[in-house]
Amino acid sequence: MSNPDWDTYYCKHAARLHGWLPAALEYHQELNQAVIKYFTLPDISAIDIFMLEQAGVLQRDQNGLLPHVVICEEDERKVADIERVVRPPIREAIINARLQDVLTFQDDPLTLHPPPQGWVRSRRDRYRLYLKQSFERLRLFFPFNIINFDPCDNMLTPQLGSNKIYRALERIFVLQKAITEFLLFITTPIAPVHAETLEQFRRDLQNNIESHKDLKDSLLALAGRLDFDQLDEHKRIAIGIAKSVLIRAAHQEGWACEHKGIYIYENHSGNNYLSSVVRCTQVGNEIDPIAYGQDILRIINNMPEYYPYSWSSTNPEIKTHLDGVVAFRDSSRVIPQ
Amino acid sequence: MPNSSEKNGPIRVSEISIAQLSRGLYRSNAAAFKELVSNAWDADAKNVWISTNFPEFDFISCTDDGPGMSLDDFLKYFSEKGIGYCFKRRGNRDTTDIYERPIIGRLGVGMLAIGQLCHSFQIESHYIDEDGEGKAYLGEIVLLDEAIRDLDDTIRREGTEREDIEVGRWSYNDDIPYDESRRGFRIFSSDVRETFRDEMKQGVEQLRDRLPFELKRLHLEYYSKAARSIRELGSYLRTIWELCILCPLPYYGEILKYPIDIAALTEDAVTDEYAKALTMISERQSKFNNWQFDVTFDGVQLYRYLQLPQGKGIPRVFYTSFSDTIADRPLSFSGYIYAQTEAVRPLELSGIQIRLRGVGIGGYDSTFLNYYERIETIRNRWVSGEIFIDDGLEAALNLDRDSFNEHDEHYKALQSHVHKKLDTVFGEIERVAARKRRASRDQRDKGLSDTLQDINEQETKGNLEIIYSDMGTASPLVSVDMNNKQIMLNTSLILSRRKKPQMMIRQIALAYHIAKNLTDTEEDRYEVFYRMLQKIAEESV
Repeated sequence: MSNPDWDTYYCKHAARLHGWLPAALEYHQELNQAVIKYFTLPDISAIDIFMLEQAGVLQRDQNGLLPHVVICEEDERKVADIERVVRPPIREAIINARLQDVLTFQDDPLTLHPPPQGWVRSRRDRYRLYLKQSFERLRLFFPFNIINFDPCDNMLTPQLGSNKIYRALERIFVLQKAITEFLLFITTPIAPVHAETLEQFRRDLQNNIESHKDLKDSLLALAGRLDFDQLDEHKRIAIGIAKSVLIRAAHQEGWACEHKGIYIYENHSGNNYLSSVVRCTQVGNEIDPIAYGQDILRIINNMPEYYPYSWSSTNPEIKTHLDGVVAFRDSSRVIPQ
Repeated sequence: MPNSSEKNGPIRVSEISIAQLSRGLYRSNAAAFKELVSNAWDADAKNVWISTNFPEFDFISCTDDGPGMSLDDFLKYFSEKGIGYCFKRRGNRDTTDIYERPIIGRLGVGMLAIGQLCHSFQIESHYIDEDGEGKAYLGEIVLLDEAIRDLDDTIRREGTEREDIEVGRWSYNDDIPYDESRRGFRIFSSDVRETFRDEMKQGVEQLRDRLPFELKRLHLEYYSKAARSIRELGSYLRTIWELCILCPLPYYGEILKYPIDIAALTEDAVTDEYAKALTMISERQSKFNNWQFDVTFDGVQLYRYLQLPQGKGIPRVFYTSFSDTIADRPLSFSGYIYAQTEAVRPLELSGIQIRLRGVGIGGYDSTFLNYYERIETIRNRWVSGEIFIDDGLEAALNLDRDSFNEHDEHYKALQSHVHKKLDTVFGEIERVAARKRRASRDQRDKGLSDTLQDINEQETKGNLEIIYSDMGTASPLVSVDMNNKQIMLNTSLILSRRKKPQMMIRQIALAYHIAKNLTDTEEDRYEVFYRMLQKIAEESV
């Protein structure tokens, strides 16, 4: 378990501050509802939870619990720490499992017919049953208003269909169907990107260019020619993830996507991460090609924003805001006895 | 140090009886958690956090901020020496190094308490080794798996040698970096027994939206409202309550209010014994505060939350102490016994709790250490006490640290002393109760007499005189002499053995005869009679 110190991880906070927070506030205001259901993988500092609580998007009940926050954490060593930080209890128990494992859970003979008293000798089998219970529990929590999909592992592998994180994302779009709209924060490491993946990105964009004149014109204006490889590296990845990963999964299940922002940030080790903020709307079979094209155009023209480490780590606005969230968290955790 | 390439192995035990430990020997969830808390106490941790992943209970953990457990000790415990290896008291160590707490553990079995709640668990320890270097490791203990032979099979197998008894498997990974912020010891598991989960979940679903996670509010909203017993509240709340009375914790609140509220005591309750008891309680509280040990359970900071007196019972406080050599070993203890003239609630508080090295050995013993004079009477529930053992009694402690060998000499001496004190306690509290009963009866009798007089005044304008006279059993209960304006009540006739019904029958009879003799019509008679009946009924409540 090697973690950055999230309390001073200003690089990621740049994406939260400029992307997640304004989108969440806007969405919360539009919904005009007191309670937001939020699903997240917050790690032990839970910065996103406290940021949203401080901003009024998440609210505690009269007993100090966060009633509609569901947390998933893979690392058993962190579960108790998260509980302590978020001022236990959270109301909903933490789901201690790898997100992609629990979301892509499939039954087998054991889980279809578990032993009646729940006693199983094999540890491996007990884990399978536990995973099933976790999946059943998580499934019942859906749909969420805001989902922070941040599983740490890289989703940019060749043959997306066999990438468990991608399949988990697909499952989210299935499980969200009881709601018409939600906000999705999706974060993934982006370095290195496999050559096959880039090739997929290129092909997908090329197909779009052939059928969307606006896209073609915009690309020409941006790069001078219709050459994917001439685009800025960050833009290639941003467009690729948007089109070939996220929108692909969304459209499959009848969701349209509107990118509110794409942020690429560099951490202290020089590794890059991409965080997208997406408004997802259920449209069924009626994917509007114009809206889709406009979304891609927005990405081509305006995104992503890039935050080099040297900038984010010294930016006073980001530092002040993150420090404020941490202070809020630490002061609100003291329960008067 | 073992060969660093050999990082797993079987957990062996030297005795089959110890092998049973892996199956669990604690009578309750709280007793199992208490063992982990005791280990943290012995390690000089300042804080212990227990979490159960409420309300699913599918992940449990106990984390402390003590010095951690070295890898050497981990291996000694699970591999080389085996379970039962305990180093805590070596070199005549009786108190911990930093906070000078009385060391609780001595048998080296406490860590397996978690084995009662789960089938496998992990240990993470960040510690400073003998060379001053920060080290860390992650250990795993598996008690139930396909590869681990069932204990019963092992016992039954012919030719089983002691070293063949395997109760689980251990492994570790020491390739994790030391993290100062994680310094300490944590034990956790997501392989939790379904039986534990099912038990803890009972009743929780109805509570979860209302449950405050603060101890005082839990007491105000739940524990104090339990009609009789904490058990009514379900396993989860019961576990918290039990932990509060089992763990080595200070009393909640200021010492003049908790556990005994001096302001609520009547003047006659503030005796010399009470003063001694209060001094003793203050001293104990001071020690607990100096030992600086906090336990948090699912975010609830635990204290020994006791608030006496309760209700309208008349309170009394007694002090007891003892110091002598018994069977060549010193035994000394002191404590308080609280009594009141109504039941102490909840039920689980009635009895005597023995606290050895700060921890509660079992809950409150409602048999009062098998006090023969009182067997399950109502008065038993009026008494609640704590006895703090300063020296001795440890040899009497059973393996579960929850009960005593009742034939041990120290236990017998404690029992004898406590019983003598209870003779005084029960004697005094019964005297107080009897006085209270007499006073209530007199009050009631006076009330009833006044009612008779009121009826007379109201209905006859005082023109009729009520005379009590012994007229023999052949005469009627009531006779009316209108010429002399007298109503005579015959006191020879006993219509009920109990005074209140007796009085009521007289009142009703009087009311009937007044109504009959003062009215002319049936209708008026009913009206007057029912009016008087109403007054009698109201006054009798």
